[in-house]
Amino acid sequence: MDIRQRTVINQRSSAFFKSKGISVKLKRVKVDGSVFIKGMSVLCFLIAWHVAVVTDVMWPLQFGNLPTPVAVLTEWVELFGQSTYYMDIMISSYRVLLGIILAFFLAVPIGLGMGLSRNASNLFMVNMEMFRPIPLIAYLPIVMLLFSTIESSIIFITFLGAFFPLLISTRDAARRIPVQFVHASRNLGCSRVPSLIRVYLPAMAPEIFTGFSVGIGASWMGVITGEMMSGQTGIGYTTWQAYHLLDYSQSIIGMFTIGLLGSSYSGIIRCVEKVMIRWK
Amino acid sequence: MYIDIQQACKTFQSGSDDTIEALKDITLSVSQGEFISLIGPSGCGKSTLLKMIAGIERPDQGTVCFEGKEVSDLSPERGYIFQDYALFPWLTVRQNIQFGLRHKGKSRKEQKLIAEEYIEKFKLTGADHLFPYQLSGGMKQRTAIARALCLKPGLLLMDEPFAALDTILRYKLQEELLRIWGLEQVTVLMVTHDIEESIYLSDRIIVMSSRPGFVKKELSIPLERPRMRTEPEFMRLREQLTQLLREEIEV
Ligand SMILES: Nc1ncnc2c1ncn2[C@@H]1O[C@H](COP(=O)(O)OP(=O)(O)O)[C@@H](O)[C@H]1O
Ligand SMILES: [Mg+2]
Repeated sequence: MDIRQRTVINQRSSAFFKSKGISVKLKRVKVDGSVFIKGMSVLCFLIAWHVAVVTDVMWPLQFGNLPTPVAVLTEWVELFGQSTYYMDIMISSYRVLLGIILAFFLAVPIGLGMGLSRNASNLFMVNMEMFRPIPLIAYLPIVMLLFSTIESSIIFITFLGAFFPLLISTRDAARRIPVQFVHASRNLGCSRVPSLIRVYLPAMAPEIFTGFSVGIGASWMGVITGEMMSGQTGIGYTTWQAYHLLDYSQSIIGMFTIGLLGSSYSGIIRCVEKVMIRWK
Repeated sequence: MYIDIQQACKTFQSGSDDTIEALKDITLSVSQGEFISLIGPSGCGKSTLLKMIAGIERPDQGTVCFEGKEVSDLSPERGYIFQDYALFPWLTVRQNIQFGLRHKGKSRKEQKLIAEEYIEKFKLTGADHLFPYQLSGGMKQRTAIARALCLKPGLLLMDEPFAALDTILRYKLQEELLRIWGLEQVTVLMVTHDIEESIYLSDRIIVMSSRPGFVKKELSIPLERPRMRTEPEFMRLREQLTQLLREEIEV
């Protein structure tokens, strides 16, 4: 076969595979009224809220105490122009980020060890099962005593929130690695230590990401709890503080901001997962 | 001898005090460059024997030697093609093929060149950037064989490599395997349960008994290649092997 012939065939087959690849990746975008329904449901919620406030409903819940959605939204729009709002968001996000990074570098090696070695598993098991079910808020008093600054104790709480989900998912993933991957890797000359990076870690990656999604949710709850209880900065602190200052619009804005940030973090994790795990 | 197995036995623990005697007194020699098929009823220990040669399993008694040394661990010297190919799903075809080259002390440039050579040799050009889940059965198998062969093993061990494929593809890949065998000068040891396939491909067929497996008969295939599945000698061998296997299943 001469070179020209071969390149023609190569081009043809690569074109074939490209078209195949694209058809795999193409997502069907549904616009069949689902956007409309979603929009309507948000609108209904806002109208119901407005009506409940304006008509001063006091039973079974005291909606009459709340500001109207219009008042809240106006104040929110004003807030968008103020740097303190963004500062709060940045500070809380920074705490979550730091906590989850610390958790990753601690939980993945320990989880891997626990998954691969019975001794390591026994070593950590009892302590883990004792500390894992404790709600984050219950750690606070002792954490406050242990850490010299409030900042470090809040970061520790966010670390804890991500640590256990990551640990458990890494451990279980390590136990589930198909034995033929390990054999194949050794058969190709990759010994045990390099295979931790080249085989174990990528094989576990999807489950580690699941741990991340759960972990970042817990971390977020942790940071808000910490800030509400003891902080002087952050979106959790501001939300709680607003209640004491009788600025209820601010509390509601804080609530919604916390919710939106929480779901955008999950979104970011999902995006990173999509980019990194293209092989599913 | 290239591969020398002396009185190898293997018993598995099944449950607390139940045991399965999988292999009993296997004695078998293979010379360099031979194409050998292992055939026998299912559960007779063919996979176990192949895994012992690869170094995945160890014999309880007896010895398994490769190039004069006792087999103690997996090694790239003895390429093993897993029944489900065991391609790494997170690597593309090219990265899978390149996986082992790093551990052979090749430079990055050499790794790339060798991978490219094997991608072409195995007709995977154009599919090199695909992940295993995007491949057909035949492509997966070619990738798995390329991944093992680019490390220049002396021996290629394959566990029922064509079992999951339809007839036409099976014929095509059998041709391919013969072509590779001629090209790369490897010794091939293949497990199969397909009588015709074993006659078509091998220099020698090892017929195993039902459990516990031992070597029931060794059959040399004197036919010239390329072989015709319809020639009289082919048919006669097929009849003979069918008879041998039927005895085992009826026992
Ligand atoms: N790891 C194992 N543990 C227990 N029994 C096993 C194991 N591997 C194989 N066996 C048993 O050994 C026998 C031979 O198995 P195998 O070598 O897979 O047979 P074949 O490949 O010829 O079908 C079977 O009865 C099987 O159940
Ligand atoms: Mg088998």
